[in-house]
Amino acid sequence: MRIRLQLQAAIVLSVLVSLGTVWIVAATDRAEDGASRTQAQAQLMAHEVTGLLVLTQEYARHAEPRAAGQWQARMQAIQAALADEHASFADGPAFQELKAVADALPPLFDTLQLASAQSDAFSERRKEMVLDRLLTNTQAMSDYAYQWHQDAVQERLEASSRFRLAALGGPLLMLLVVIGSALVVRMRVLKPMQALERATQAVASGDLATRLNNPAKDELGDLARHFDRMTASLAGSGEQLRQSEAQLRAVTDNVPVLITYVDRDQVYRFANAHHRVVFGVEPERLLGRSLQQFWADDKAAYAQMRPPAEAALRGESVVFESLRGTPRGPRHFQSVYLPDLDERGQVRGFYAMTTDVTERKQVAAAQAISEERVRNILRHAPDAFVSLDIHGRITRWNRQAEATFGWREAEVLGRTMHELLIPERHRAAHLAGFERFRETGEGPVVNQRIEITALHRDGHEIPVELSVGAVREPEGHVANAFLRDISDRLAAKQQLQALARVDVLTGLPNRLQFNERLPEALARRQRSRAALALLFLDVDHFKSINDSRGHAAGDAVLVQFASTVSACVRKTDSVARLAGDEFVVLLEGLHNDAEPQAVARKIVQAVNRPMQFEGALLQVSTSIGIAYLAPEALPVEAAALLARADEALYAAKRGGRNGFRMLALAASSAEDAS
Amino acid sequence: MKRALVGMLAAWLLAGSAVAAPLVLAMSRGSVTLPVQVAQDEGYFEAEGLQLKLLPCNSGRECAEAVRSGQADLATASELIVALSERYDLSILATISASSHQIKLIARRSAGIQAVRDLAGKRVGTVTGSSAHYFVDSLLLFNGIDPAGVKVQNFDPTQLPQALSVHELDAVAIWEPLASLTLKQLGSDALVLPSPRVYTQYFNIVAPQGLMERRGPDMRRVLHALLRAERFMARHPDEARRAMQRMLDIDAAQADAYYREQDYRVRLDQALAATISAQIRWGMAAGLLKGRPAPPPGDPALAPRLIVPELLRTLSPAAVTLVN
Repeated sequence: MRIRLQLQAAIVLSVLVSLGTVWIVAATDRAEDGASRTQAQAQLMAHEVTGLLVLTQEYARHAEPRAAGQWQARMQAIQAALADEHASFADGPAFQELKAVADALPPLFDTLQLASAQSDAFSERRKEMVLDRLLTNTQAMSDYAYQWHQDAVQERLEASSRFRLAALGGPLLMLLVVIGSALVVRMRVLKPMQALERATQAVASGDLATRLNNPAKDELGDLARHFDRMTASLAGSGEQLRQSEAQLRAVTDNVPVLITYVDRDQVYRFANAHHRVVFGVEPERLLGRSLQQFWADDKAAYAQMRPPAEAALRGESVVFESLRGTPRGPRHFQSVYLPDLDERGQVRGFYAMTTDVTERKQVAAAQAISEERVRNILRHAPDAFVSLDIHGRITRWNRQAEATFGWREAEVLGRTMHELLIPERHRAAHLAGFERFRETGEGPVVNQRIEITALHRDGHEIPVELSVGAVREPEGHVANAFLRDISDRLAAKQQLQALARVDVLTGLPNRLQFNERLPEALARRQRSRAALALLFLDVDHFKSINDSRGHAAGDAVLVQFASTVSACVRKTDSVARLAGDEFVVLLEGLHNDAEPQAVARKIVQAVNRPMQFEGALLQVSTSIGIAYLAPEALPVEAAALLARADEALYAAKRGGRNGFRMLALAASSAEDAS
Repeated sequence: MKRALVGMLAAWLLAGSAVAAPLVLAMSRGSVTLPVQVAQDEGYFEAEGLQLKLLPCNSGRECAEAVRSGQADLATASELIVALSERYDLSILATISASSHQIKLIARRSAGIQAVRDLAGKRVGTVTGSSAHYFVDSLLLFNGIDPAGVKVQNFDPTQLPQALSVHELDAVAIWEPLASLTLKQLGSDALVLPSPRVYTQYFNIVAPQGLMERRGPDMRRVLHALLRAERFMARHPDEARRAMQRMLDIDAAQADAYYREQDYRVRLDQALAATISAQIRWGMAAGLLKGRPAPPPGDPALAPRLIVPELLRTLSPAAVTLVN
């Protein structure tokens, strides 16, 4: 039951008990009063009845009318007394019987009077009987009056007892109600309150395991359950907090950073285990000591940290470096002081995170030297060196770059490479390629040596060999490029290539060049549908010239022979020396097979003219095989054409040399001509 | 003498055998004995440590005979039985009910009877020597009719209703519940003749003289149980009426009528002694006490100890108005 309800019930009960007591006291007082009166009346009645008894006996003895009159008067008095309202206060069976007897007596007395008037035996007997009844009934009246009196006494005693009971019981009951209420208050209110107070004190002193476990279904039971839930929640939070602190401690103790918390009085409140490593100091030694106290032996250190500490306590974040003595010698430290603000923005203290940066400083110094060295190498490198940022802007430009492209370093830094070095026609491709490179670090130029065309400041193009290295940076890739002017190298290369395709002795195209030209010519014939002829020539008996007159004579013959044959053909026709004394002539744009034969004939005749060699005349002749490819002829391979011409030459040789034979290919039937 | 010796021996044996020797109470069933029934129903006798056995009988006379014959230790009987007892061998310990109305004179209208005066020469059935006989004699005298001119006939009480209804009799004087039975049997022919309180009958617990000395404590327990029954009835009259219904197997209205006729108070009144004295005189005059020794001098009711008030007086002084 709810406490409020119980207290209300106690109040209502008290009021009811009070009212009930008052009512009972009043009622019993009234009853006692009534019973007293009835008692007095009953006493009077007993007295009257005694008188009546005497009168009855008197009348029986003397039968005097005076006695009869007195009897009747007394009986009337008795009946009047019985009719009185106070008489009926104890109206039990005795009173009822008393009334009944009082009613029955007058007829009996009348009969007695009647019988007394006669003197016969029957009347005497009758008189005796009636007198008996009168006396017995009057005696009974006396008994009933006594009982009535007793009833009234009993009634009064009971009323009196009820009065006492009410007078004593009421206050007693009130006392019980008060005691009961007090007990209820003690059991239901005070005890739970005491338990709550003890539990609150226990919680206040840190015992979060305290529980009330009050199962009561009342207000304090509800309060106790709320309290238990609250402490359980607090215990959970406290446990979490401890775990967090332990985790934080574990983390802070295992980082190679000095971490402290300093309150607004500049007193250390937290220090991590790294202090042991760096300074050989147990972190607990810092706690509770001020900066000045702790660094009393190292005034220089205190002088370094005091201004930033004061700044942090003013709410500023401070980063500074310092040099402090440690058991391992002087070390460089970088410190960050972060102010700790409460919810109103007031500074409660500051966090200090101090990192040993000695190694970093050494590395930085070494790196600076290294960078300077690289810069020097690049400055004096024989190749142009250009560095680009992720936007393609030039960041490095060495001396060789200045020499190669005509731009001074100061002029190019910050400008894009494509605007300075890339010819107009290549810029779009360059930009697309550079974009891809920036994102992926890849491209056709990366880690390759390729040749490109670059633009000189004066507008002319320079062939350069480009080599690009990619360096990844957070926003993308940047490029380091070496560029080398390869104009001279290309010229030399072209020269070498030309030399390889020319017969050194005669200056004619050699077999290499002829092997390139013949397929080209066959392709052209295919498009133009013109006739083509291949003449295969050699110097008759050249071996004997060589043997008899020496190689020099042979070389002279070959030179003369080449010159002669070249003179016999059109400029557009090709003459080449395949090997030794073997030559070929390629005639294009022919209309019929007579035209090659005419050329062959012209060559035979021209060669037949004696030539001068060291004062003597040498007579040489030539045999020519012609392979003719008519306009309608089917396409043919170069080798097949050459083999046909060789076959025709062989035929010319067999025919006695110094002449020519012609063989047609494909659709045309082979025919000889001389 | 020999019989008395045997009785004394038996009583001595009984008294010595055990405290809880059974006590037999011969009781006639009627509204007059309701207090005994209530005490029994409510377990007051048991509560007193008594093993009380009720022995049923048809009238006070029968019950008294059961005591005389040793079948019972106590009896319920009217004061008349004690007044007219031969050799003054019975004593009244306490009155348990008193009534001026429970004995009725019922006449047949068909016999030409309208009032008491019409009874002259008529046949009136009753139990002679009983309180009903005393009542009818008193009523006749009160009305100026000589009882000698009325044919009073003795009957077994249970046969009276039948005798009246078959016109063997013209009127009957009988107590409840036989009176009601008679009225019921006779129907509209019945007429109850009015009585101006000529007789108040006291119904009592009666013991053979001498029992007090032998089993005084048990008597005391019996009276104490009856006093408790009296209080119970005064406080719970409805319960008492229901007990009467059960005892007599009657309806509530009948039980209520009987209840109103009775004064259920355990007491000993001075009027009881006066009534007994008158009855002794009446008995002697009517020749009912032939052969009985004359009463000792003094009050004929008290001198031979027909009423023993000491026990009740110690238990409830206010219940005794009898003056020694």
